[in-house]
Amino acid sequence: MLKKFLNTILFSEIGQGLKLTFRHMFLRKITVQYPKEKLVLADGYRGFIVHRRYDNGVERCVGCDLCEAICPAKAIRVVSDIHPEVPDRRYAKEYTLDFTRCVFCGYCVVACPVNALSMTKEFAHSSFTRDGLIYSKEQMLALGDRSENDSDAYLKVRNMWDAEDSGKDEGRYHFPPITLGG
Amino acid sequence: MIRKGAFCAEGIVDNADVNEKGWVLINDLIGALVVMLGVLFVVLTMIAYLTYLERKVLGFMQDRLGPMEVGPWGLLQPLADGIKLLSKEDIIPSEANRAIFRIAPVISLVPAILAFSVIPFGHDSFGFQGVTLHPYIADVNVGILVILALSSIGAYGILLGGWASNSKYSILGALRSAAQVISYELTAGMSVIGVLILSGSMSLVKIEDAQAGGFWHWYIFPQIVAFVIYLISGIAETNRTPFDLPEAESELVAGFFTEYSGMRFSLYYLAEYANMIIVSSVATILFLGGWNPPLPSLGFIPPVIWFLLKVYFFLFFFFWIRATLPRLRYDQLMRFGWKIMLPVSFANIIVTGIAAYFLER
Repeated sequence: MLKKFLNTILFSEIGQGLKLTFRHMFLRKITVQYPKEKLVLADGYRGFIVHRRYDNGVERCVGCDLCEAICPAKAIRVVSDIHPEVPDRRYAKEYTLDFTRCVFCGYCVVACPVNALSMTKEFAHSSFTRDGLIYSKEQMLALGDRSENDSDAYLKVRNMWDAEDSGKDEGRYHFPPITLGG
Repeated sequence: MIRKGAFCAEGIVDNADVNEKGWVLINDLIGALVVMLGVLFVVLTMIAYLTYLERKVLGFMQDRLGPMEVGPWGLLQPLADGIKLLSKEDIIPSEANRAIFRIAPVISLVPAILAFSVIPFGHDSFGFQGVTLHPYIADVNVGILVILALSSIGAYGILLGGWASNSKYSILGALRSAAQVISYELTAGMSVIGVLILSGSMSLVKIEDAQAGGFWHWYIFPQIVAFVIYLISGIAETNRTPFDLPEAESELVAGFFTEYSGMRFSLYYLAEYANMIIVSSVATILFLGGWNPPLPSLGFIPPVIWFLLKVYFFLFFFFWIRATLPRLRYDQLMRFGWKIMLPVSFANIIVTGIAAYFLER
């Protein structure tokens, strides 16, 4: 009773609160001064989606439409066709990825049988128009050339890297283990 | 006097005595003007950087950094804010009472700035070419009354601004503010009386002189109850958290200045911070000995520095309280003011009066 009265007139609860806030003044601040300092992103970071190439520069995409089928946001549109020069080979005549719709779930990368798609650590792409964020295959290939290490690292850390894939264009489908379900 | 001959041409004033008196007058005038301009400049700069300090302290207490972008460590942020506020569009709502809407922020700011005229910042006057510069604008023998009176006038600015805006949030904020200021001004005035009994003077300079010679002479020790009451009612008077009901943003958008923008908004803002400095200065003068150093041996540090240190301690305390406590409910505010603060301050007066009476014998 007396203790409660003393606590009331001495504002001991307010004192506790003041102590807490005072201590927090000297703790490490959690603010990241973004443009000046950037966090190190993990290899599995799901950033912008890119197209990959074989070592000889031929694009990997075979226009199989699996990414379009699995895309939950319906952001991908593929028009596939027979390759005009190489017989027996299909490719994506048109490939657009609408990044205004994309939810960066990474399903298309999982679905791709030839590891043609991967994700990078790029996230700061912005545009003044909606059209500016609808990327064509050429743009995605250019993005992939720019951040090749990141896209390789993504596939490795997400367990989709095909060890038998020599990087050579052998004109065949490589099904990574994760796609085959084991 | 070297410059005397230049001003008083021969033949115009030939009586040497009148001449001398005239010069004293002019020198006093120049001295007073210089001090006024100096105080105004210092106070306005202090207010500007107080906003920066508040955001920094709040940020640090919330594990953030506060303003960092404008200038090194965001030091030019007040300047950028000022330019932004001055160049913003000045909106007057179509249904507002235009004349009162225009004048209300001025009514709020002017008394707050005026109150600095009786605040003594330091101890020693110094002369320069016959012009005496005092560290205060005026040593009024009822200084504390002047401050209390001016701070009540400030409430009219809030009340009129809220009413003239013709908006329900504004009028609610203004009504809350009126009720709150009346309740807590009373306790603030009552808590001051104990100090007045002890010092026997209402002049702020004399009150400070009475506390000279070490921190054990400060009135915070005999008047600890009055000190706590004054601090609480000071926070309530300046509408700061946890007593910021007039501008409770979760209920009233911004309270009495909801409809204000640009320049007029910044006047209210300035008034709030000026009032904070006033309350801190008065608390420093009445209870912490003003310019007096805590130990006589620390007298080599100028009195102005001691005064500002103590004032900034109180200002920091205001920010600290803001970072710590949530807002009171309105009935809690009223109950606390009338049923606890007022009786305790009355009891403090009675006890101080009786003690002073018997100790003087």
